[in-house]
Amino acid sequence: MNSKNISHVDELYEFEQKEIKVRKFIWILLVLLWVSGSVGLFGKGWLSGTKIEGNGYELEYERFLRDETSTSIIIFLEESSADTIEISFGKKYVKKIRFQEITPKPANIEASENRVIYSFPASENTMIIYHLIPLNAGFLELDISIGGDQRYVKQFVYL
Amino acid sequence: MEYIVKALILYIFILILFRASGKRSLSQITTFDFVLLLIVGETVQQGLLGSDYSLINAILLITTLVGFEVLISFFSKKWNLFDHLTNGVPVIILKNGEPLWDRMEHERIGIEDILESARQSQGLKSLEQIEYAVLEKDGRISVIPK
Repeated sequence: MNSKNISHVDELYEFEQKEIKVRKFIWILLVLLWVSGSVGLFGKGWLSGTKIEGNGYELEYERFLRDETSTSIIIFLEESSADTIEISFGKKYVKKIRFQEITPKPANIEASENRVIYSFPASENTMIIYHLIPLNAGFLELDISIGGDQRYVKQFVYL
Repeated sequence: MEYIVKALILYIFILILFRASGKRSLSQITTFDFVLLLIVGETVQQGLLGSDYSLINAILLITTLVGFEVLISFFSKKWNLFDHLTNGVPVIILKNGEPLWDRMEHERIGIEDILESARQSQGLKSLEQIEYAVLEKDGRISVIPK
C-alpha cells in the first residue's frame, strides 16, 4: 500500500468489491424506504390513518405525522339528545400542536386548569374537523375527550 | 438545534444516495440530470428551511452544511479508510488493452466511454494503444497510453 503508483489503484479494488455489495444493500434499503413511505409509514397513507369508535362517536386521526405539516382529527358524532357536545384536549397536547382551523366553528372555547374545551351545538353537527400542525418531532400523546369519554392515543411526529 | 439535526440527516442521506448511485452518475450529467438536480435542490431546501425563511436560519444552515463538508475533507485527508468511504476509490477498468468486463459492468461503463476518453485526452484510436484506463473517484476516465 505504500507504493503510490498504478499498482496501488489495483490494490484498492478489494475495497471497491466490498463497496459494490454495500451499494446493493443500500439500494434494497432505499427501496424499502420508498415502499414504507408509499404505504404511509411516514404519514399520509393507509398505514398512518386510523379510526377508533367510542360511545356515540367515531374518531379519525393519523398515527404518523410530520413536523410542521398539517394533519386532521375528524370526529363523527351520532345523533344525541344533549344540546351541546364538549370536545376537549389535554393542555400537554395543545402545547405541542397549533390548531389551524376548526370546522364548524365551536360555539364556545374555554380553558380549565388542564384542558382546553370546545363546545358545539350537538344537533347541528355530525362531523367536526380539527386541522392542526405538530410543532415538534417525536412522540405525541393525543389526549382527547369527546362528550366526557376520554381517550389517549399515541402518535409519532417525523422530523 | 433542530436545523443542525435536519442538515446532518440530509447531508448524510445525500452522501449515501450519491455514493450508492455510483461514480459514473456524477460525471455523466445530461440536461435532464441537471434539471433533476435542481428539483432535488429545491426539495432539500424546503425540507431544511421548513416554515422558517429568516436570514439567520439560512446563514446557520449554510454554515452547518459547509462545516460538515470541511469536516469530511479534513477527516478524509487524515484517514484513508474514511476517504475511501466518503469519496470512493479509483478502479482500473482496462489493463494492457484488455477491458476488465466484470468491473466495467459493475461501474456501468462501456467500451465507448473508454474510447471517448482516450480520444479526448490522448488522441488514441484503439484499445490496443491503452495500457491502463482508470475510473477515477469523480467518475472521469483517465487513460494511460502504452
